[in-house]
Amino acid sequence: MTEKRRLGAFICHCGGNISDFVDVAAVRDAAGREDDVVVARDFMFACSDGAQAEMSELIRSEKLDGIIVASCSPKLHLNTFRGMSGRAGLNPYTYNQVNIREQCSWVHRHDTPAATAKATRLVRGGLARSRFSRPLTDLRVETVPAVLVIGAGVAGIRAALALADMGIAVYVVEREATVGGNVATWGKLFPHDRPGSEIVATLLDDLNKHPNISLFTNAELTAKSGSVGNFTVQVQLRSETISLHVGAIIVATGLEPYTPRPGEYGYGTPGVITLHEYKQLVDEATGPLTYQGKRVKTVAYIYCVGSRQGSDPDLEEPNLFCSRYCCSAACHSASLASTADPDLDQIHLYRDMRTYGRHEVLFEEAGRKGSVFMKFAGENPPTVESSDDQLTVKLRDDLAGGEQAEIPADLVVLVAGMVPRERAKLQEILRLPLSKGGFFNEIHVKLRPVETVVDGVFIAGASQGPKTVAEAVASALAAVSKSAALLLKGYIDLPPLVAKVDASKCTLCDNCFGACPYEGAITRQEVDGRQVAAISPNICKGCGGCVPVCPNEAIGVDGVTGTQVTAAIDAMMKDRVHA
Amino acid sequence: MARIDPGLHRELKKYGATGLTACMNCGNCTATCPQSTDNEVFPRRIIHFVQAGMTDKLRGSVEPWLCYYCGDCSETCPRDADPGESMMAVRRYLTGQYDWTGLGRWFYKSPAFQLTAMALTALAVVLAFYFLHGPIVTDHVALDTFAPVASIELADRIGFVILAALLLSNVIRMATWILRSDTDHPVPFALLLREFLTLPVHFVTQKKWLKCDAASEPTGRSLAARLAWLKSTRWVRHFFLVTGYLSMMILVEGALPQFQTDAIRPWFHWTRLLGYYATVMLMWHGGSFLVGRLRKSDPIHKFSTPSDWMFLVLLLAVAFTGILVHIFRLSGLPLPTYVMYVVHMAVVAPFLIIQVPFGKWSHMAYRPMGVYLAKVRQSAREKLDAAAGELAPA
Amino acid sequence: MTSAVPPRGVQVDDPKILVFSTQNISDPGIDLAGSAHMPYSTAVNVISLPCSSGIHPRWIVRAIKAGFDGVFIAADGSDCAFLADCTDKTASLVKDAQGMLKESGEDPRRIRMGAICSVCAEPFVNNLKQFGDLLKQL
Repeated sequence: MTEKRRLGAFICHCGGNISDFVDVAAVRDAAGREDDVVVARDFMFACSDGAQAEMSELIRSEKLDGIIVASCSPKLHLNTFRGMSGRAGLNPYTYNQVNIREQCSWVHRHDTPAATAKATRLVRGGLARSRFSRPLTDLRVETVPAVLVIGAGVAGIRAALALADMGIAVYVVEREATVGGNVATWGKLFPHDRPGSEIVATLLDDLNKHPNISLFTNAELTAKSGSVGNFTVQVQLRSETISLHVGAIIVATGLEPYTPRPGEYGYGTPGVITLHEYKQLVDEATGPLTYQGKRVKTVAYIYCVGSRQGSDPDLEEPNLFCSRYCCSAACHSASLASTADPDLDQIHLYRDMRTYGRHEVLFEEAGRKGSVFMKFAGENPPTVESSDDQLTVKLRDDLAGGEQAEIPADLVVLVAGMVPRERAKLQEILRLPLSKGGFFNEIHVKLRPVETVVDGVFIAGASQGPKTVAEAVASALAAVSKSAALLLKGYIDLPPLVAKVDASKCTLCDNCFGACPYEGAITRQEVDGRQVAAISPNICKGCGGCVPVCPNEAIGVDGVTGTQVTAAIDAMMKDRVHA
Repeated sequence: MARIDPGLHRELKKYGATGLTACMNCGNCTATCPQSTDNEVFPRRIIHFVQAGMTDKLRGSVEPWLCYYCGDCSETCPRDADPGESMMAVRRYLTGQYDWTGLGRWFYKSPAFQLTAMALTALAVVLAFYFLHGPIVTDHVALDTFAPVASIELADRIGFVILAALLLSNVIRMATWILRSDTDHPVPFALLLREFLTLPVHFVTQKKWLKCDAASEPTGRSLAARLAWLKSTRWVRHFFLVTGYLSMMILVEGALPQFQTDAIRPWFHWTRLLGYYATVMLMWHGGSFLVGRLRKSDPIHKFSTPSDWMFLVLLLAVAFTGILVHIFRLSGLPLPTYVMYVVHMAVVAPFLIIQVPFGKWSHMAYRPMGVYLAKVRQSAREKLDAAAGELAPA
Repeated sequence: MTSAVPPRGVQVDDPKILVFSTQNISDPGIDLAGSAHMPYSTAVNVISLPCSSGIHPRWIVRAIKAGFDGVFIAADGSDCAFLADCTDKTASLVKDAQGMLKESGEDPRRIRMGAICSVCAEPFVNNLKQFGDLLKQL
């Protein structure tokens, strides 16, 4: 065996959430009989101040060098008890949390003996992991108080302004010659009918005035090195390449309106246009709409073009997502068109009306102003035909009991969704994972929005997925607060639960290099006169992808090393008999 | 496959529909409608036919005639789109569509046109009397001499035949459209005969209307409770109004020589009693409908088109001038009697000529016809389904 | 309650299953089954790791040898925040583990992999039920 340890096992009742279904005292006593356990206690609420004080006292008086708390899910209190350990003088990474609530008492409410046996097993597994834990220190990194913002659309500019206001230097890099992205090309936008060009002009004015912001147009990111808090990026300008030091990167590369395939709903035929194109037509109209010199009397809109393509069997990579903005934008455009020409006949062929939240009023207003709505099913989309200068849309109208309808139209508007902007090169440089629809992926939509798996790189706006202008700006400000929180302190502490190579076992077979998704995380180093693999703790995320590919089992992720996992397995099976 | 008319909802606006495109097809109206059934689903679907410009579907729909405008739908509509009023407008539109002469459409869409037509008809009546009247006896009331009953009766009969023919031809158009709309369930002629009794029963009783109040119908056997319930229904007011019309019709079309006579009959003579009854019913209920429209107390009376006002005003005018003729005659005032008689005729003639085949009054034919056709279609469906059931393998 | 050695041999019929979950995705999904009080066998035990692609096949085999009747890998599917090809990598190591198990004379069906997302409480319970039923037949 290994060296003797002094472990503490603390079992929580969670009021009655655990102890109503698990014999906590029995679990405590079983824990107390485990090797190296010098103290085992139970608490009504382990997370309460009193219990934490008592545990801290025990850590000190019993000179504990590892503890477990068997209570709720680590999602709730892992950091609570890590912090408590640290304050009591115990290395926080020798702490392990055992989940006997969500994964035991709450699911085994009718068999206390069996639930008690299982809780004991889980506690033994946790103790085994603590027994083989090592004291670790957080990785402290100095940070550069500057941020690189990629993309000067509304999200990018708004993010830059907010960061600059906090005293952070901002470099805004825009691939195009002009700023404002899509929004700059649009006229009146919902909900307040303020033109997009005007919104961009206001933002740009503020940006130009701000001393902390440098804007580069016709510029592209070409390389990135370093890690969170300390990146070096290369930016290609028209005639030169510059190098910038930043602590964080915000990606706000925005969207591209979906371009229908040739022939998709008749796209390519004169008179069949996208909502994006139609919007410009409406924005310019002061009276009845004209298209190619002809007055438009009837408009037919077809919704969900390029979105929610799941029921199209012909597509290899269908866009499964809803583009969110299009229902609202189409209804809003229809109202604007009705205002310009009250006699305009407008027929909307939609699948489901998703004018969510306060956009509902746009749907209602369009109707009141004379728009008519006909519903179709995704597997039964309308078709567009053209003959003798006349477009005809055919559909099965489900609201009329499945009646086949032929709609004569002067203009067919394809309500096209959003797709990500061309970003292959950027993705190559930043190594950001993509979602199914090809947008950049955040770690967790609810728990860790705008954060990516690359520490210090945040995503904002429609680069994350389809968004309205308001939503894009909100997500940009979320990215601002995450990057500012990172940089304003001047340093960051990174959890040290990363992969480590046992140099004595490494034969430099190169397998781990191929398995690692993080650029530069694994490098070659000379140790004792031998070339071996070494892992940079600042870049490694601790996923463990390199662990199984190593033929010599030379790699382990701290907290879940091979020794810890196998010890936990063995400890769980200690009795060989299950309850 | 039907080519739609995107402007149909604009057309219906001219017939008084206010909220057609505000409707989002949620179907609350249909869910709440006491008359809607599994086979006749409305109002939502009918409103959607209008929105979507499905003219043929709309013309072939029997549903508008099964709606009695209780207004529950308009009260529950989350968009305040007034489905009840939309159904009313559809009925006006259909009345115009059934009418092959096309006059009905003009009368509805242009109040000025309707007023002019009525004024001209009235003028024609006055002129006819001016040139054709008999000797004017001034020492006593001799109406039969002023307007010989045989001539009046002849004009009456001719008018009746013409109006009936117009209305009947419109009804045939209506029935053809409706029966042809459901190609899946062809109606055999024998079935049309078998269900024929429905037509007179509903013409006289309008009993389907009571379904609108079914929710408040007492379940017990108490006659008093039942009567109180009946009294609260709109059906009862309309029913008595109809008995008033029918009484008038019996007197004018069936017994004019007894009714228009210079002999003063005793007050209990059946012609006098029937006449009084009709006058009371027409004035009482016509008056109460007028007050309702002025106060906008019922959902049905919230919106009033010019055609609604004209109808009520004329109704009251007919009753009022009629009773004045009677009073002047009883009082032995010859000249006032003759003048009022001409005025009465100048009101009655346009009322009947314009409203029966082309206007609101045509519903006396379309409504029972709608109930009848719905029933025929239902029987056809049941028959076909039963046949299909027999064919299906056990 | 008085302390006692946990009773042994309760529900011996239920196959003993070790679940490898992932800290960010499938473990929250399994927690959700708990929050929803959706019962499953007490013979199911979870060890949580950062990513399913970091499970060593040897650990899986070790679990079977130590007495577990089956090992279930609760992978992230396409949700994995670390790797785009996480599922492929996990599938490949599961295959390796199955090969090792077969070589040692055990049924490779004792190892199963399933995609459990962060809200996949019901799929988790159903997957485990099916897996348990299968293990009973082996």
